[in-house]
Amino acid sequence: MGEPRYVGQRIPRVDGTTKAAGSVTYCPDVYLPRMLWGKVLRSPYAHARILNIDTRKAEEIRGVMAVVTAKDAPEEPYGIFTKDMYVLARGKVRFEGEPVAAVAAIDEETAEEALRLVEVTYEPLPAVFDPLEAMKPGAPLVHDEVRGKAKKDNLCAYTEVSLGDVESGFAEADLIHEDTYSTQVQHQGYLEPTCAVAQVDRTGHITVWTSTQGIFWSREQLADALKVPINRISVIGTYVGGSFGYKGSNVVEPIAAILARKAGRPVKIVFERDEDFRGGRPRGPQIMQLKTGAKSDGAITAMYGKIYRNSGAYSMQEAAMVGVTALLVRGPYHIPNLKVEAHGIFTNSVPRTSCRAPTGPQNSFACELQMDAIAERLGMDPYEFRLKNAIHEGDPNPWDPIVGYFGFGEHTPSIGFEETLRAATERAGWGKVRLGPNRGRGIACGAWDTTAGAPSSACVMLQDDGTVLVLTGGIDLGGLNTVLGQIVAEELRLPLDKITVVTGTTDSSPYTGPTGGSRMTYSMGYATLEAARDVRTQLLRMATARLEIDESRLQLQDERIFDRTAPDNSVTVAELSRASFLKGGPVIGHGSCASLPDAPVCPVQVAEVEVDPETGQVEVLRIVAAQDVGFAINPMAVEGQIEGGVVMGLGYALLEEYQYDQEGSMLNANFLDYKMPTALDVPPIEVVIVEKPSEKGPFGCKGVGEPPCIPTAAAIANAVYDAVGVRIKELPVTPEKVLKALGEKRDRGENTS
Amino acid sequence: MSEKLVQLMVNGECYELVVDTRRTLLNVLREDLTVTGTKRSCRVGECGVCTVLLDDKPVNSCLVLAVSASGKKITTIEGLSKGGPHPIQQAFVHQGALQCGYCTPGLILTAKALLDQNPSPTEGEIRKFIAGNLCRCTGYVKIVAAIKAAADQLLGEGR
Repeated sequence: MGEPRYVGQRIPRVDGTTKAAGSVTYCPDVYLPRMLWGKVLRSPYAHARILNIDTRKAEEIRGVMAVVTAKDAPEEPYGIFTKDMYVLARGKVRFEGEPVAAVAAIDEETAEEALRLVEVTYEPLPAVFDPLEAMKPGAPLVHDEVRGKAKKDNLCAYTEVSLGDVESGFAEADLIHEDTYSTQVQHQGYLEPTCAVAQVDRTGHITVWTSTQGIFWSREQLADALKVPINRISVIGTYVGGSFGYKGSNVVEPIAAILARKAGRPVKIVFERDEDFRGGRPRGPQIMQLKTGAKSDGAITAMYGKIYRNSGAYSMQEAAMVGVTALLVRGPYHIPNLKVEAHGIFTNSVPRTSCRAPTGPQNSFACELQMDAIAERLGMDPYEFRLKNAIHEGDPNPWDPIVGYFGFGEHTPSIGFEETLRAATERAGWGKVRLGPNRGRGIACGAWDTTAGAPSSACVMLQDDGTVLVLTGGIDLGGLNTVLGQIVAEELRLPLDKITVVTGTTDSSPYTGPTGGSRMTYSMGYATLEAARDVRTQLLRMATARLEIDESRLQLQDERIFDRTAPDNSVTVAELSRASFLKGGPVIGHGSCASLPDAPVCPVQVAEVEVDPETGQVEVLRIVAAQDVGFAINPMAVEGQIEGGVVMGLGYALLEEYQYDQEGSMLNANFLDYKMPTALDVPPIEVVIVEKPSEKGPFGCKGVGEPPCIPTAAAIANAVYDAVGVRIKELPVTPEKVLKALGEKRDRGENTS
Repeated sequence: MSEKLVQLMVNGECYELVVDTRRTLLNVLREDLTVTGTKRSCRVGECGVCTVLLDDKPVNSCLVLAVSASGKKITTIEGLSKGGPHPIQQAFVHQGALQCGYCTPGLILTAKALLDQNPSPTEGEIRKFIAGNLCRCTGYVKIVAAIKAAADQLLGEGR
């Protein structure tokens, strides 16, 4: 094939020019004739019985076309693993912000006015917000029953992972370290608000325009919520203004649909930012008790973890979350004896969903602070300690249970952890450069995967002019469509401007799972490459017949197929395409894959910080972020993902958390008080791309999008310890916590310099 | 409720309409004039997504009453593309400074205001000037690079 020409290139996003012109259509930009505006009434209480809802005054307002409550939605609950959720609250509310009613009116102001006139009579109930409190006998029950069966506690989900024998592992250890770590609620921070436009036609067919990570995923969930057959719903995915795991959580679509059905007109709902906080689905906080044993030479012998996830008020995907955290909290290390018990516990808080690498940053925070603590007690360099325990290709690894689950059998995934560790420390000058007073350096790693368990499919179609149309149902977040164009260009040896990648709707595209789990370039890329190869095969076959020479002499290059030994004997791709209309039929290639073997990714970051001992303020001076991407099909897009992920991790480390009052009401549901990093908060970030090819990914690629936000907080916390000798074990690392810890250190008579 | 006749000069075109005096410029641009390049996000002036230029100065259009913008020069992202993409838009595309693109219109206009008043900003000056524009996708790294690249190009062109 020769040197790659299109893959490995820094190609700007194919949607870049239109986005920079402000002319792509995001969901809030969708306008339909006779469209109404919907608004949602939300519970002000974290836990209450709904005694009565009176909508008459709201209905009487001029311009109000529909008011809905639970009786306008199915009686039966819906849900991904456990069906415990209602379109609008039924019987009681379980979190502040839970939707109770909704209004559709001719404009937003009228809808807001009508909302104020919906009268809901609540009976407040005792609420519980802390997961450990929620597990105590006598705690208020968030759910009294599930599927008709009485529930006696607030356990939402539970899973256990076990390997070897931890008791004997700890007996072998020369040192045992035990500690508790905790992380906070993080908002995905997408700038485009939650939005959907729903339209129900005369036959009852529902069409929804929505900002989602997965059009088929949204359709399935909407069908479940409304108890309507899947093929009676069409979903059109608009351009997404940021999502990071959240959009496609079926938060707004069912409400828009029942309003549209009742009003007989299309209805658009766009959340206010306050609603995206109180009524969204943020990253779940975790309390992690970790105990690790190691020998004096540094080899880890055992690890025992107990994880308590605050699951919020509804089950959502918690069953999967506890599974992921139980598997991956042990990090990218060789742990011969392991036991992890992971609990998801209901509380009267806003429900959770995926947020970029769900449970990843939480796991890394606990594991990496523990690794540093052990290294220190052993008198080992933190980098050397990690190197000693690093997993390698062929080792039993954390993803083995996943491999078993998907039935891959004899699969040894490529693992570039050691290479990444070396690359990060080398670039950071680890151990070589001394930092000044109150300055420190910290290292942290993560264990993640390219979640290849969802199917992908694609069509590559030759147009009459010899250009190519690539059709998928995959939503482009991190640059999918650009990368697919590069992959097809490489395979068909066509210039990029001859390839158009189109994202269809559920009515017009082949099925695919959602864009998430860092899987799209890997999985959709695989399917698209297969489709492109199908087209290539057909073209070569047609050319063989047309040029009357053996296929081995054919060369496909720059829109022509020619005889390598006599280049003038050629035919253009366009000619072949038009000929196919007369004989053989239009050239269509298809590609399709179910679960692909997983491709683990273990990011490594080194952070340098300066801590002000007077204020506790932590300033990050520099972050080196290394990641094994297998093969960087588009290095510019890869850098973009890593830089963005690191800054999201930085926010998680130092700035971001949901704050609540005693009644469970969110105090900082706005961008002023929920502090996301601005341009002034970002230190120099050095991206180090490591390439250790995967077995199945197109051109050896691995997933990129999630890993970069995983180790950042741990790296920063470890750097703070290196700087001023205090290890903050609760995120975020705020000046208050640093000052308090410094004070305690002084009180213990320890040197704080 | 009170209404007023306003003249909104948007990207060189004059629109005359009657608006409720409580409505914001953001709202009127998007809903009445259907000029939707200006995006809506927090609607309370905390994110910068809805930035437009009002008499060449960057403002959060969600905090400007439509009536107070009457008679003033309003530039939205659409206005920057007249006669082909502006160097700042081109720089954003070529430097990879946009991903989801939602913060992009507001950021590009903010960058224009910066480069109009300071054609050769330092990195620190750039970061300070765009501190009121949130971006969750890029981490700002390539945004700063794009603004620098655009500055260089504009200086080279003598603009």
